[in-house]
Amino acid sequence: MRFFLLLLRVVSFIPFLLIASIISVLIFQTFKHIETAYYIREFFQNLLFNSMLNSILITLIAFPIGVLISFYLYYQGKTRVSTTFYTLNKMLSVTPSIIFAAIGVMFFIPLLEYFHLVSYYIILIITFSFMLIPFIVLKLHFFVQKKIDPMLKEVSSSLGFSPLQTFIYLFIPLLRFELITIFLWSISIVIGESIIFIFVSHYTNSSHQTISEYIALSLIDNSESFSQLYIMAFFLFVMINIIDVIRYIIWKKYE
Amino acid sequence: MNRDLFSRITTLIVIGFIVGFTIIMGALFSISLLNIDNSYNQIHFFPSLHGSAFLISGFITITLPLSFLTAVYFCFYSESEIYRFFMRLVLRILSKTPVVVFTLVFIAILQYKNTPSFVILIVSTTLYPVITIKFINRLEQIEKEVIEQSLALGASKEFMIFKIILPLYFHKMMEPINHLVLQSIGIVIPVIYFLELSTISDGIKPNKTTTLSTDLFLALQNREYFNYALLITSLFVLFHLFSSIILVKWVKKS
Repeated sequence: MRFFLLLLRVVSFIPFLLIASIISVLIFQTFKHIETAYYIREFFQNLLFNSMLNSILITLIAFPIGVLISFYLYYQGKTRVSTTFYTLNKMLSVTPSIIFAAIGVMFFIPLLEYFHLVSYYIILIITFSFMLIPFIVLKLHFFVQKKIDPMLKEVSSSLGFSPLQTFIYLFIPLLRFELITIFLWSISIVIGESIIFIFVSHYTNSSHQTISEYIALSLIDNSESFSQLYIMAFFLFVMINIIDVIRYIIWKKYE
Repeated sequence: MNRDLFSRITTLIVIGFIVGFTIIMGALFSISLLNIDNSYNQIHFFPSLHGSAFLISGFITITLPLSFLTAVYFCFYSESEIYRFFMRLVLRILSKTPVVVFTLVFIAILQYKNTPSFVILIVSTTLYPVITIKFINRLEQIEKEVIEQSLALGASKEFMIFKIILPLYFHKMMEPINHLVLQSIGIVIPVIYFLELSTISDGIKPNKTTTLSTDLFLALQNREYFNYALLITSLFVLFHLFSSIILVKWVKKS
């Protein structure tokens, strides 16, 4: 009994140890190589800009589709289509990003090449949509089940509301804070992603590198000095956490 | 707008998504079946399967007990609200941290070592916060009456966790386990870096323990190896699909 409790206490200390080591290593390495940071400033600004631009652009396109699908699942209730879609979503939400990269490279790029439509942003948006939409749908579906009474749908239709009116006057206002937090969540997922960016850039000869892509490529190729990478990792870590803090503040205010 | 147009659009998106996914996977799977001999000749498939099994068993052996025990301490033993607040915050930050940041931090702390055990340690640490959050969410869904009644009947907390909660709610615990297995199959960057598998410009050059996901990463760099990449992608998706269907059915049945 005592041993078990001691074991639990030791194990529960691991997350604190991990976060302390991550923060201390990143801060220490960043300040150690602060001179390098000055030299890479211009290059780094591009990476930062690309990271933000790509993540916002991708989320802006995938997010409305995910919201519409969630509304469909809510409005239609349990049908064969919605059950199939839900299972498919469950599967895609735990699929690793390398599979989405593979689908993008082996299916979408040849398809778009056939129509002479190969573009960095088009391929990125299509590939990431497959990855982000299941995430958005599952999160939103969870909040819908928790917050919106299924009877409201009956009430709105008996009052003569069309599906569009139900969507605008019921679904969006009731879930406005959840929608904002899921939107920010999606942005932070895209910022942290690297494998899809690596392959899309590789096959479209794009120079729009993002921070996580640059770090991952340097690690794989073992080509860069780590001093630059630590500074970028520090900014990546801070950026993702700032987005999460904003999300948390909005959530707390709402709660 | 037409009264029904909106619902038609939403239905079309959902059906389009299902049909699109089926067409993509059907195409990839049928092409990989047609070229299965070429795929097998391109690279040794079974050593990579063995490598994947070895690494995944390592990830599970470390991450699963650690995540479960942390979640148990958080849900049943910790009484301090401050601890719970900070624990949630720390787990949230860790779960959002990209794998490249984890890799860089471990390179700084432990220095470079190209052994599979080192990779297992790093990837397990990366997966640990995500799985812990999933376990905490599942344990918090357990009805309070079950806990209160078992404690009132004289059961110790240890007895309650292992003899009552685990057998009774095992189906709820399966989702984090499923998530852990499926996510760990797809881990690429730390494995490639620490095991020095190849560089992106060299193409396929496996050595030491390759896994299916690293093989897929290397094969995707060069169109000559697409047959092999197709085979691995199809296997991955089939495995994911079956495990998700079984999980959904099992949870529903339970």
